[in-house]
Amino acid sequence: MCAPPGDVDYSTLTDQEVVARAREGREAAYRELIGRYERPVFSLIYRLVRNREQAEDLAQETFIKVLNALDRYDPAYKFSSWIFKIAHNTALDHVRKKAPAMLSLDGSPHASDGEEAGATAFTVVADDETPEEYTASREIGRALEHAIAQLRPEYRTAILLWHVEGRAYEEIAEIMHVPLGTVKTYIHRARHELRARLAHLRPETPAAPEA
Amino acid sequence: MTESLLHPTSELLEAYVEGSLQDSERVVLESHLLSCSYCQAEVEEWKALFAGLAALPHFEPGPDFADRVLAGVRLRQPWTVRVAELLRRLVPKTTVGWALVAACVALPFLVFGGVMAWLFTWPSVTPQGLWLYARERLTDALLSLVGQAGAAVLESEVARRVVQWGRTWVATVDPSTVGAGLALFATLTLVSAWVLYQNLFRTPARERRYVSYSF
Repeated sequence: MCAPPGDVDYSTLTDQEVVARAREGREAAYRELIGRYERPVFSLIYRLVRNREQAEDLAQETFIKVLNALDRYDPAYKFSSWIFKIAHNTALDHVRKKAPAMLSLDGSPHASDGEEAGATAFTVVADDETPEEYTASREIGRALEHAIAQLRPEYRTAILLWHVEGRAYEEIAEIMHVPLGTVKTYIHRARHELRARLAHLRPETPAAPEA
Repeated sequence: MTESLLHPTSELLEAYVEGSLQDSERVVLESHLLSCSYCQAEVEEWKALFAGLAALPHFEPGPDFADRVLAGVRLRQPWTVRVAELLRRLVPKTTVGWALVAACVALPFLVFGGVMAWLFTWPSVTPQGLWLYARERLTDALLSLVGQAGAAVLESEVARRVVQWGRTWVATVDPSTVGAGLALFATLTLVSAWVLYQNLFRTPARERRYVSYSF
């Protein structure tokens, strides 16, 4: 039995095909695009801003920007790159506005003593507001989320796009609008920072052979 | 050369776990790993980090997320819907609006009819005479207009045929057709003015399709 005209199975279409149908005014196509990207986009933003309510607002803002500008989308490029780029910029703008509270992990560089440094140090917001709550209750998962939260936002975006979203270095460079080498540096440094922050979970490592 | 100097760098081990090493580099490194527990542990540590990152879950926004997004999105309607909406907007929405449209449609007829009735009260004016007079004036006006377009153009074959067609049309056209045409023109003009008025002064600044959203 043939499907009635207009009854399209959107799940079988590429992003570009769905966008083409959205441009024709089909609400189902808009919903398909939202369905495909709401979790990746929300997750990226959530891990950048560390607050669920703000992340919902920023994810919503991202989708509204994207869907209202479908006419400007060039199908020669990946739709995912475009939406992640807008999500990254939207979240980063928000994070930068909040910069005074998030600039330093160890306290203000201008602090004159330890007490002042402690008072200005970055702290992850309350447990009931963080992604840890939604992560499987494994210690490594919580520790990893906490360690990611302490990375620079640029490192966070790069490493999340590579490891969680499976994006290639080239696509991440396009999304973040930085050179390819910079992306590699971001990811490399982020991994090393994460390893250092997760060192307390490390099992006993054999000592390096002496020279 | 001591054994420790042969240890691959941490970056190389990272690239190995990432899978970005050349085949030749990978073979050399794997042969080293067979006999080096330190590097094996290092590789395991990288693998654990990669696995932990790959296992990070996606978070889900609120259940009504799509609806909230769509409330802020200007859905592009198909052209058929847009035309239907435009036509719908032309229809008056109030009794006063309908009355005004009716008045606008009736006005040219009333004026035209009134002028005609007034003219025919004169004994010297007959319908036939009035039509002949109007036709002559119309012909003169047409010729004058064409004449202003340039003698050179007038002398062309196309222009000659157009003038010929115009003369024939004026000579044979039914007066009632001209009247109906003028009435239609006046009606369309007034309806256009009404639509312009509706759009300039009576349409809300924000179209209904642009739905604002709130949290």
